[in-house]
Order: sequence, then structure tokens, then C-alpha cells
Amino acid sequence: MRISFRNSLYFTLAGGIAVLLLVYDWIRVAVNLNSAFLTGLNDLLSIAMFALFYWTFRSFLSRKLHGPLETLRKLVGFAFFTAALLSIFGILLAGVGGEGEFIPRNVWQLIATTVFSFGVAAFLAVLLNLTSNLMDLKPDKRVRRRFGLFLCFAFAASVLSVFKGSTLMGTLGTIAFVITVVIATSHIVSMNWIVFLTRKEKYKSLVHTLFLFLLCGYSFASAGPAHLAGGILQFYSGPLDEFAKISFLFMTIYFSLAFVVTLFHIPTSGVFEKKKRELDSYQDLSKVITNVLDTTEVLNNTVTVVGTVTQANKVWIELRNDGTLAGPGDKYEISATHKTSQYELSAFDFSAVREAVAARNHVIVNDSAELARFSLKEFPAKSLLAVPLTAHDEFIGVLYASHDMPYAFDEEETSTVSAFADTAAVAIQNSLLFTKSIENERLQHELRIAHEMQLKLLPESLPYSEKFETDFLSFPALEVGGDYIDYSRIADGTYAFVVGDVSGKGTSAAFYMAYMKGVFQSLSASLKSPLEFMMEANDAIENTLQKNFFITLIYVLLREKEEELSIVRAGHMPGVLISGGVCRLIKPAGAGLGLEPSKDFGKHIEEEKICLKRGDTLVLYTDGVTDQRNPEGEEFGEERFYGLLKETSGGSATDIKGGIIRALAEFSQGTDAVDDTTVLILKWKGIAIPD
Amino acid sequence: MNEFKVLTRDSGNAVVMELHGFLDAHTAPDLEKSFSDLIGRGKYNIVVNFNGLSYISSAGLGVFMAYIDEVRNNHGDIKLTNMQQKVFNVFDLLGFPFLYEIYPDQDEALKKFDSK
Repeated sequence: MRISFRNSLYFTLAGGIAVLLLVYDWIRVAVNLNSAFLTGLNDLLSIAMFALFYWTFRSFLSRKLHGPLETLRKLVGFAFFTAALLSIFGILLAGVGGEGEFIPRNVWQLIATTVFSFGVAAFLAVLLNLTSNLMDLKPDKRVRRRFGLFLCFAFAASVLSVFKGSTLMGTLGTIAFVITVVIATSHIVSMNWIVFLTRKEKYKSLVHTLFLFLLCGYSFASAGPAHLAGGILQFYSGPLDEFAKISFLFMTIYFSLAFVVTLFHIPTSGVFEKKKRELDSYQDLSKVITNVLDTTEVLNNTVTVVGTVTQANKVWIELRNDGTLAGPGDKYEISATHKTSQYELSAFDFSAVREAVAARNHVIVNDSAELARFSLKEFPAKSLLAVPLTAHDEFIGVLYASHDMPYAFDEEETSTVSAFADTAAVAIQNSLLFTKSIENERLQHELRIAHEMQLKLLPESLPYSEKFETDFLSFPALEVGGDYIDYSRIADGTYAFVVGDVSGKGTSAAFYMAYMKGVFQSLSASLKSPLEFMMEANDAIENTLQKNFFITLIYVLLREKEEELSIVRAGHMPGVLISGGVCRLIKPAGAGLGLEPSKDFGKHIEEEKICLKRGDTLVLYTDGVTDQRNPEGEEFGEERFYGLLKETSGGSATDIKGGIIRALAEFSQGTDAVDDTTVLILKWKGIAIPD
Repeated sequence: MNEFKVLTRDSGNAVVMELHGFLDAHTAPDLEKSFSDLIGRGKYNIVVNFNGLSYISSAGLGVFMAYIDEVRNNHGDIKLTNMQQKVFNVFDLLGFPFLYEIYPDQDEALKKFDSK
């Protein structure tokens, strides 16, 4: 223990005073001196000595506060030493005074008197400090201030008690004493520390306070005038003796009451401990809940904590499994269990309880008859408690707790479980949202991959030769789309080009688009006629597509040598042929693929042949082009598109494509495309005539 | 954009279904519901009046395909009438005239059902 300079100074001063008083006493006894001034000075110095002790011990006894039991243990120890001191000196100096006043006969007795008084003052200072610490364990500034006041008035009363002869001083002394008693009484109720003891600690406290009561009582009695110890103290310093008596009396009363209060608190300590446990668990749960984002972990923690803290034999949580909209058709599933299992619970239908919980907060079922009312007659429990899990005003599930005994859940238990449920519900929802956001991120990632994959299904470039040039554009409206563009080199100088559109857009359309690619690539290689191709394609698609899906397709066969195009159209936007500055729509009859059974489809489909002239431009497109809107909601439209093609048809295929992209961008002014957009441009150059 | 609306009313042994507004992927489920309600009530003679419909997308077209087989299997039909030119063009391009009876006027379609 480090002793500060101030403390050693105090202690030296106290020692100095003790020596001074010893000298004074020696002179007093030797020459039979009787000066009122010197007596007063002696008394003040003895009180000052005590005060120095008190402050010295205060500074290192309150440096580190121990628990109540530790403090009680120290108190018992010091009280024992004090009582022992009082007894030993009583025996040592026996026969010196006898009845009445004590006067030491020789130097040894004088020294013994001094050592004794010095010791009593020191022990008393320690005891008072420890008692003050005990009362201060549940810190309250007023308690500490009042204890200081108590000591001051006790000092005053002690000093004034010397002047019993004077009426004024006597009255003042009485007043100081009364105030001391009042303050002491107010202190006696400072027993908060008892409340926070566990049951076991309370038993220990009972023993300690009983000892303290006996030891302090003994010390009080010893310090009285009837005993030699009291006489010695009285000789040494009247006020010190008075002060010691007041202090011992105070401690005797305090510890006797502490004993009684502890005794009365024992029956309630079970409740207190339970509350404390609940509070601790609640804090633990809150901590866990704010740190854990895994739904399963949150759920398991919740049922475990509720199972540990409450009476419940079994605890489980039922969650709405979609986690989105509430409604009567919602499905619920057991999401976490404690001391039971999904398997065991799956035999019972808790929907009646759940509906009752959703309708009126919590439900307490007290016996088998009530269980039967919720159609849970067979359920192996006598009591059931169900509280709602509500997060942000949304009912997300139910927390159940059951017990083998009837009437196991009272209002208090219910409010505890409800508190847990409220905290848990928010955490559950947070974790669900977190999971969902991760899931969303994953889907975003998947869609990006799908986008990449679909880009690979599109041709990098289209074939061209000296006689013709080609170009194309294709943008999905979402990450993936249902537009299809492709070509196939059937033979030398014979090419098939195709543009298609799967109804709808997004992922499902993208799958059918991929399927279409397979169909086109496998059929176009083996079939000679475009009509044959379309009929086979309808066959392949009709049995695959959902009823409300269909694919439109335009198929163009280019025979370089013959300078001829054959076009078949299955419900698709017409081809646009710009020839000699005139715009003509190529629109042979034909229904969309998957709309008609093949026998009917074949009846309706037609083929159109075009003999190519130099500079002829054929444009195939999907309705994403013409459906593009501007911020005013106006469509780009066919007129505008055909007009644009006519204007730009003089340029190369790439020029035409550039013109379309610029025109669409200018027109839409940033308005998102509603549909996938695809354009194929085929420009016939014919045979260049040498200049 | 005008909101999509379906009004159905009985007319003789047939039901007239009047469409209004935009029919696209978002509003197609409304039309699907109207069709399945009618079929649920055993109404298979259906006349769809397109007079109020200003736009139809491919998802909207799909709805008609989804129910035609069931209706025809029950000796009924879906007849389409009063199409605006633009809407008709969409149906025409797709080859719907091969699949459905399309009339300029609703009464004509109703007469067909009456004469059955």
C-alpha cells in the first residue's frame, strides 16, 4: 500500500499530539494541575488526533471500495480488535481506579492509558470509515455529506459535554446531541447495500451484522463510566470518550437494524435475484442482437434466453415465412426451438393461438381445458404463453413458451417475455432485411452474369462480302432481354439472317431467346427453304413455350449468286426495303411462332422473294425501336423510323446504324427504353461497275 | 398514361368485355383475372371490345392466347371487335386474324353467338 506524503504527515501529527498529551498528562498527574484552559486544549487536541486518524484512514480505505461482504468482514475484524483492546486494558489496568474516577498512579500506567486511548481512537476511526463506506456502496452524495455532518455534530456534542456546569454550553451540547441523533437516525435507513445481496450473501451478512451488533454493543458498554475502559478514556479526554460512546451506540443500532433488515429481505431475495438475472439476460440479448446479423443465431439466442430466464419448459418461435406481406393466407413455420423440436411441434396446429395473438396481443393459457379451446388438447403441457413478434408495427410471428404445470405464467412473466419478444422481433426483422439485401446483391450479380452470357449469344458481327454489307444493333431494356438476332452461313454465298422477339421481357424471355438460338442454328443448317424452316421452328416451339408466350421471327435468306432475297415472317414487324428512294414494307403473311398448331401455321405462312438491285437496303427491326418514347410520352413510331431510313439509305450499313442510334438518343432524351431494341441492316452493293 | 380497365357485362348468351387504357406486362394480370372469372362462371362466349384500348404489348397479346384453348374446348369463342387501327395492326402483324374472329363492330360478333 502506497502511503502518501499527506497521510504520513497526518499520522506523524497524530503521534505528535499523542506524545504532547502524554507529557501534559504526566505533568497533570505529577503536580496535580487543574487548569480549565489546559483541559480544554487537551480535549481539543485529542479530538484533533481522532480527526487526523479519520482523514488518514479515509483516504486509503475509500480509495478502493469493496463489496458489502468484504467491508462487513473488515468491520467485524476491527470491531473485534476494538472490543479486545477495551477488555485487555480493562484487565491490565484493573485495580487502578476501582469505583469512580480513574487516575494513573505511575508513568507506566500513564503510558498504558495513552497507548490505549490512541488505539481506541485509531480503531474507531477505521470502524467509522468502514461503516461510512458500507452505507456509501450504492453511491449517493447526500449520504456522504450527511455522514460528515453526523461526525461534526457528534464532535460538537462531545466537546460541549465537558461543560456540564454551564447552562449555555449545556444547552448547546444538548442541541448538538439531538441533531447528532437526528442525523444518525436518518443514516440508519441507508441500507441499500442489503437489497443487492444474493440470498447466500444475505445469510453471511446476517452472521456479520449479528457479530457487529454484539461487538459494538460491548464496546459501547465498555466505554461507559461504569467500566474501567470508560474511565481510562474519560481521564484521557472527556470528549473523546463521549464521541466514542456516541459512535459505538450509533454502530450498535445501525448493525442491529441491518441484521433485522437483512432478515426481512431474505424472503424477497429470490424475486430480486430473478429480476436481476432477467435484466442481465435482457442486456446480453440486446448486445447479441445488435451484433448478430444472422437470423438463425438471433432466433436461437432468443429462445435460449427466454427458456433460461422464465419458468418455461419449452420455448419456440414461429415466423411468417415469406417475410413480406401479412394476410390470412400467410404460412408460418417453426423457426427456433428450446427444449423441444420442430418434429415434436409439427404434430400440433397453433393457428388458433396465433390468430388470437395477432388479434389481441398476448395469450395466456392456464390449464388443459383452455388448451382444448385452442384445439391443442393433446399438447403435452398445462400452460402456454404466446406473445406477438412485432417489428415496426408489423406482425412477423409468435413467441411461445409452455410449462407442465397449470397457471405457470402470470402477468409479470408475460411482461418479461413480451419485452424479450419486442427486442428480438426488431433484431429478427433487421437480420431478415440484411439477408434479403445480400440475396438481392447476389441476384444482381447473377443478372450481370446473365447479361454477359446473353451478349455472347449475339453474333459479334454479321457476314459481308464484296456484294453486300451488314451491321446491327441490339440493346436489352433490362439486364437480359428477349430480342434475338443471328445469322447462319448455309452454303457458299447463301446466308440466313434472322431477327426475333420473344413476348415479354427479362429473364423468362432471355431463356426462350437462348432456346430460339438453338432452334435456328440447328434448323437453318439442314433446311433449304425458308418456309420449311419456319414450320419446323413452330413445331419446336409450340410444344415448349408456355401458352401465353410466343416468338415473332423474320427470316431472310440471301442468295448472292441469284441476287435474291427470300423472306418469311412469323408475326414479326415487317422488313423495310428501301429501293430507289422508295420505302416498301415486306410483310408476307404468317402468325407468330407458338400461336398456332403447325398444321394451321403452315396454311397461313407465305414467302416473299425480292430481286436485289444495286443500293437496295433491307432493315429488320423489333418493336423496341418504334415503341421508344420521349419524355412527353410520344412514340418514336413507324413513320419517323421509315422516314429516317429513307433519308440515310444512301450511306453504308454502318452509317445507317449510326443514324438510327443518334436519332433514338436524340428522340428519347434519356427516357428509358421500354422494350429491347434490335435492328439489322443489310445493304446490297451488287457488283461494282468499274469506272 | 391511361389506367387499364376491364368492364364486363352480359349480353344475350354472350359476355361483352370492354377494355380501356394500356394493356401491357403490368396490366395483363388484370385481364387474366377477368378471363378466369368469366371462365369460372362458365361463360365461354366472350366478345372483347377494344374500342377504349389505346395500346397493347406482346404480354397483353399473350393473355388471349392463354385462354383460347379452354374456351374453344367448351364450345365457346373469344371474338375481338372495335379495334383502333393501331391496335389492329399489332394483331394483324402477329397473325391473330388467323386465330381469332375480328369484327369492326361488337354487334356483329354478338350476332354470331346468337345464331349459334
